[in-house]
Amino acid sequence: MSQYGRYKLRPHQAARLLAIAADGDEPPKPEAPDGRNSPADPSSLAPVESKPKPPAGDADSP
Amino acid sequence: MRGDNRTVMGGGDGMFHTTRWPRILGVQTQDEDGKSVLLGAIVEQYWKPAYCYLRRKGLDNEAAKDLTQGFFTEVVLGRHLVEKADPHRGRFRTFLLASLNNYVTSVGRADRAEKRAPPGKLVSLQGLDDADIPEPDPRLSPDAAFHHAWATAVLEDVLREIESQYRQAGKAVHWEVFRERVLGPILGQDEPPTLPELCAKHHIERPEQISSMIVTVKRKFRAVLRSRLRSSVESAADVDAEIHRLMQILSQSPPRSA
Repeated sequence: MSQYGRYKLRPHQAARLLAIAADGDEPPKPEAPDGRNSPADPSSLAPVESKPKPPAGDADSP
Repeated sequence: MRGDNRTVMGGGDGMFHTTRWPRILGVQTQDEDGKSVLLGAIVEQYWKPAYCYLRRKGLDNEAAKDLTQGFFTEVVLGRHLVEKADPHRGRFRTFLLASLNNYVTSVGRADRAEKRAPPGKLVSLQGLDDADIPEPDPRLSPDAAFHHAWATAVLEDVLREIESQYRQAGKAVHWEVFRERVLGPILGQDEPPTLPELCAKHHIERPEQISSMIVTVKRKFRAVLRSRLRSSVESAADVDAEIHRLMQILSQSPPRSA
């Protein structure tokens, strides 16, 4: 993947991406001692730059 | 279509427009210049699904490219297909697929041998990089290949768009941590880095900041995708159903080894 490059998605990969849109934030996985799969604490998902959710199409404009 | 009155399929300028019902309606109402731009956007959005459909119909690469050109030139542009589309009668892509199927049926084998590159290459697949030509899954039916190609093209475009937005906004790190931690594993790349590893790599003080960035990009992804899908269904209430419909379509093919 390069900057603004092409993404070649296979169907199962596309389905996993769709799940982000369908289900919201994925549930946190158990946290391993080395920090993999963290954050386990849902509270840590609270965005630092939290904003009220804007209408679709204009959200979180970077 | 663009400034030089040409449409080159594949979104050569890095933009990849989504067919939207309002845009379709715009085609019915705008002046000729506006129509050309909008039709060009529709061609860019749908040539891959059409091509994949034709490949799964048994055509080889060159024949499928040729017939795809013919369909967009003769039917979509020549017969003003988009202007005949009625948003109240179903999804545009379903309408387009039915029209494509009719076109294929109407074109005889001998006729297919004729090259369909139009005068002035108004719609041209010639010269596309091989990397731009999709290879449909041979296990898919033609219809499924069409819908797969459409769904993956929309998602690929959304990824490109949010990457572009974050980079241009000077927030490349947001994109990078999302890419490394979320997108990479989905694409079957390396095991995702730990939060401490990402902190060290990107000079970020606390893991919570990484988590926050990832959530922010996920929200952006969700918003952009929903916006795209919103413009392909009749009402906002249909977006969730469209997402689940696409997941259903995409799950019709088993995962392939990387």
